[in-house]
Amino acid sequence: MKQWLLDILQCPICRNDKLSLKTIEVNGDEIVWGVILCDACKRWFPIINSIPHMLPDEFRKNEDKEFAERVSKLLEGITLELRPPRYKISDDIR
Amino acid sequence: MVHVAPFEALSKRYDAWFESHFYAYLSELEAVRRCVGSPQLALEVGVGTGRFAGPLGISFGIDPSLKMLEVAHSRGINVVRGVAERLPFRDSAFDLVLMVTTICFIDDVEASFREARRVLRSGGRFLVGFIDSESLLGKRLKAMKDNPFYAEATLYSVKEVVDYLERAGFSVHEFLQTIFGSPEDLSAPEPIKQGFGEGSFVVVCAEA
Repeated sequence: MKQWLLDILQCPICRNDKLSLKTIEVNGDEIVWGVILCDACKRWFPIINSIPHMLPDEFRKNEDKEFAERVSKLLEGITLELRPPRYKISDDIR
Repeated sequence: MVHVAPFEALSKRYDAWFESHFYAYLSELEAVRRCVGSPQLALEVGVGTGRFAGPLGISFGIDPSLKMLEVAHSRGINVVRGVAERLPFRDSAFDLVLMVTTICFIDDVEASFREARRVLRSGGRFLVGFIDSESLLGKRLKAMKDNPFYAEATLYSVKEVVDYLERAGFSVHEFLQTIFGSPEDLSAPEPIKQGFGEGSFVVVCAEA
């Protein structure tokens, strides 16, 4: 996804507009791997192979686990939990 | 969302339908094109492989099926994986929202229309293209229980779609129709006519 897409996205669950983006792999202006964080409800949404996944909780499946395992070491200070899909930020980078 | 499985497994076969029913596809595309105009920001809900968004110049697409989205992404569309009943887009973000042959696979059509209205700016256009359940093709598809795509589909009549649109706060402006014969027998694109009741494929143009 392009970075500017964030300007029109919102959390599909809590409707909050204030989303943060952590990029993992970028190719020009294209975010190939990354994670979108909802500042309000603390849900996280993966960007996998340039496609942001913004599904409601009940439809989130295996991709979450694979994604969290693959990127956990690359997201400093952020822990991605699976059920429910929420993130935590460690105190030292808050 | 319960209807994703056949699309995940058969995305290539789905895309091949457009090749083998080329004139039906071209007729549908032309009917939708006449209502699209040149919007700046447009979203296709249920974008699938991008068979409509691509040629219509629609920049944004959403679909729950990852396999289909990967194809749409390769066609240059900005895609998001998500569901129609909970769009991950901000209020008033778009000038135009489009759903083509999508409502038959949506769990909660009313919620999806409310969401379409929310993401449209005031005065923005909402186009719904679908197979009329009371048409020749509609009646035939209802009888095709062994088709992996349509066995799980719910077909709607024009009146039902208009009711859903009005309940979601849209005002309906125009109807276009096409595909007057059997889609596999066509040797040229079908004409596009105003109204509904004759053609199997209908586009309802509504305003937010």
